[in-house]
Amino acid sequence: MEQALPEVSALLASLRMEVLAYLSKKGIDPDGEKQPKMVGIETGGVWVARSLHQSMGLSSPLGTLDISFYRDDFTEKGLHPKVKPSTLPFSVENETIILVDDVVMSGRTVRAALNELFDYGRPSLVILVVLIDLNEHQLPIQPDISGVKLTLKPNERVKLTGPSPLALELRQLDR
Amino acid sequence: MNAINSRSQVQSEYQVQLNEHGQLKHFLSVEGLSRACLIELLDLASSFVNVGQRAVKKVPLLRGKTVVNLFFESSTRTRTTFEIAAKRLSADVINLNISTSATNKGESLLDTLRNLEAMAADMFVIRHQQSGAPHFIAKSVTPKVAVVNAGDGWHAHPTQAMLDMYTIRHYKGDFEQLKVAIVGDIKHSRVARSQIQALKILGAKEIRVVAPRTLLPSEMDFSGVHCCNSLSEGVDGADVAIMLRLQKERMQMALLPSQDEYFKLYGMTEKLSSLLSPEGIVRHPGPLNRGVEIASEVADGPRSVILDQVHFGIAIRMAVMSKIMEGQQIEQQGGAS
Amino acid sequence: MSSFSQWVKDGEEPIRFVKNARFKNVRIIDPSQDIDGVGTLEVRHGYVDKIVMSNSVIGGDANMDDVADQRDDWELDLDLGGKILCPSFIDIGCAMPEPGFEQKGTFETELSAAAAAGYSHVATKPDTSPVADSPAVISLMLERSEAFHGLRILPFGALTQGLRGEQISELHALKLAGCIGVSNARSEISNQKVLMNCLEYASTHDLLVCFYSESKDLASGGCVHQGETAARLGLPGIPRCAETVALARDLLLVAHTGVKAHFSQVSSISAVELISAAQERGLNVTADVGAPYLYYNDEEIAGFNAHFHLRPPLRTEEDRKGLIAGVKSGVLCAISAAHQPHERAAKMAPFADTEPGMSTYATLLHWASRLVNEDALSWSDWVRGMTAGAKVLDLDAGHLRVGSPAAFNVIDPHLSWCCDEQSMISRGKNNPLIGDTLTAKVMFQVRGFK
Repeated sequence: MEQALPEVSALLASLRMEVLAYLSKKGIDPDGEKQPKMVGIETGGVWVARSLHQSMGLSSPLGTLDISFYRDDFTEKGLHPKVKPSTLPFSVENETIILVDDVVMSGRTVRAALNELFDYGRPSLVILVVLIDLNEHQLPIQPDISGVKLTLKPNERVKLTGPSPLALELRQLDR
Repeated sequence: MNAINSRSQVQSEYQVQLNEHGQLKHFLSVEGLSRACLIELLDLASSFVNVGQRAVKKVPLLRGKTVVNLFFESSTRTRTTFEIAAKRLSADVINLNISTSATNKGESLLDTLRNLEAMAADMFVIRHQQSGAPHFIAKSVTPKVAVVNAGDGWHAHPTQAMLDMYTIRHYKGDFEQLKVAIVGDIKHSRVARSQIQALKILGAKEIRVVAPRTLLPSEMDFSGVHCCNSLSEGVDGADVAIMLRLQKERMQMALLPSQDEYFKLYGMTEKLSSLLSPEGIVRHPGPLNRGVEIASEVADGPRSVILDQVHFGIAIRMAVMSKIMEGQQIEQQGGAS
Repeated sequence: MSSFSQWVKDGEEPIRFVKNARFKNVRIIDPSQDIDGVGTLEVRHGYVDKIVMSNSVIGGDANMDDVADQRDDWELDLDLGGKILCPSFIDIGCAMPEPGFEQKGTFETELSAAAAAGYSHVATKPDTSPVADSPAVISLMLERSEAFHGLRILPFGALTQGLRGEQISELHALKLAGCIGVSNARSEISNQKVLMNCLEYASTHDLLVCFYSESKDLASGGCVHQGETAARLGLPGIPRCAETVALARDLLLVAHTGVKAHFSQVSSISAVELISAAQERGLNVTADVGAPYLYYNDEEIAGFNAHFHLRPPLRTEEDRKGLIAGVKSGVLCAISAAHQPHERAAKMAPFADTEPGMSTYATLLHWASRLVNEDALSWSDWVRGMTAGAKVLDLDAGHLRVGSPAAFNVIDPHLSWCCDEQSMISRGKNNPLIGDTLTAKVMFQVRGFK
């Protein structure tokens, strides 16, 4: 039974609206002095963040995190030799951070990203935004905002391809 | 390399450093490693250079691991570099300068190591005056502890060679078109041996080795390496000249008459450096003997890539340490899933 | 009458003493009599009595009638198809660790190992502790080794006191105490005048001097052959000239003084050439090569493998082939075991810090069988090499001459056996083949007299 994957552009539009609504509820002005800083997780999360960053018209620069050195599945996946540099061109201390990723599954990537983020300083608030929530959390990490919740079969994975055009692909894992 | 005439088929020294998947679990020698392996280390070091430029220079890769610096030959510089590298990987570091204690009382290497077992180290960084000491330790004494060779006798100094390769790649790009000359006391140089092996594996176009005959015995006719006794011939048209340190002890045993004569024949002067290719660079693994291996004008001149390599050195060691820790963990967990 | 298989099974005793026995259908090898073929050997009253080959009969009483040939009171009457029967071997220079280094081995352990390896005589080197430079030490050694499994030790005395190369030892007293000869082992006598005088003095007492030629200066600091392996591994090397410079000097002094000389454990092709040239000029010197040097070369050291740390060092394949040629041509008349047992700790260190030497008795025949397989040497060459010590040391041994006391080996050249720590009798387990399955073994020795 094939599941139809949603259109990425539709998801991005929906995310933008939900993030703005969330910020408004929290009383955070996206254009003001204390505007939130957006940080995308390499690689898919950076693509999503870039799109959001642009569509929301944020004036602060976009931050990127490569969490390869923070993973806890070291022995399964191994060290990836080409690690991109993380760039956080702003202070994290006491700031509101919008942390963006493409897919959240076990939650370990987000855990690693949080660890790395906290190496830079203590944010006052971290909002987790993801395109797709697969709802197979192994850690107590829930996105605050997600584009869509999907349920996959055990050997299925969903992948965001890009950077342009951005599209979702369903893949089978071979065992 | 399987010795053609070898009957005993004993594991060669470099095979000891690989786990059953062919991944590094010790770093004892460059010899016998694949090109892909060396390139991977260089690429990984690149990432760590970037980490070193962040405000937060730490990553948690070796958190909870204990790294013990076992220096039987003292060296503040190298040891400090390893210490910083380990700490940037979030490891706990213990420094043991054994040269000043136990072995002077005649305790054997074996017993010294047995007494260290209680420290439950995850990694030893070893510098020893005997060739083959880190190999002996990795193979016979503590197989589950990752061993990094920080220099053993005349045999190998693999992390230094990787640092030199990193520097060369940084300034000159790929190795395939490079002519590299290594000048100095080749016979007693562990750095030279490792450099020559690394350059061969990385596919350098031409490797030349320059030294007086007393410091370059004829048996060292490594295949694919051009040996010569004349500096001008050796550096002519070279893209990289690596000057090796000359130790004072070489003036004994009639190997060399004086540092003066050495400088006249083998010192890199301004004039000689003009024989290099137009973009040619001069490297020296340090510490420098100005006026012996290299003239000050060259050491401080535009071709010199000698100074200011500390951050590369730390990154290379971080790359080596993370790679072998990964190899050890994969082996101990019975392989990757 | 015992059966062959029962004997072999029972046997912890490597030497069987018999007075009357018959060994049939066995390949008999005695180079001293140019014998190499299948035949039957009879022992009567403890002496070799008769050897019957396919086209000749040696010994026996020609007038004895056929009845005697059908005697049925043989203690042993064995059919040894496929086996080899040869004289018991003579070891020219064993590094016997007793007295002084008993953790490496004792007379009991090492002579048992020698007996199991087919030796009837073992000459010992003088670098014991205390050094064998006085009659007291010689007597001590002879006493302690007495009657071990029917083996005789033949001690070499120290040429200079303490082997220090300064004062000559009391050679006459040493000879009276039972020395077979004298040697300064591997310690070079650096003052050449002292060396010459020592040789003159030894010559007046008609003593054999055994040389282990090595220049201390040229070899200093080295632990492996100075060649490609040393260069690659960064180990300090010992060039061939460390052997040949000393050897040339020693040969010239031997010619000058007329002393009886034997050159032991040469390691290089250049040394073979020097000795050959000297022999051709009429100099009456003998030489031997250590068994490991016929089989291995320095490429074995590849993994910093301390089992192959030997002194003199293993050299290149070219040298190995030159040494084999030297054995075949007779320039090197003897093969010595080069047996040097060590305790485990002696090899458990970085290469240059380990002690040189290999415990060889258990694996000698395996190497021989491999060399025979490779057509490098014949069994006859091997036996000649292992028995030539009799000629060098002037012993009435190492042969199967009719009328001589029976002293021979029965060897199974095809036997497969596991050489583990238990089965290796020597206390020193420092051998690269330990734990491996080997081919060829001495089944037992036969003696007519204790």
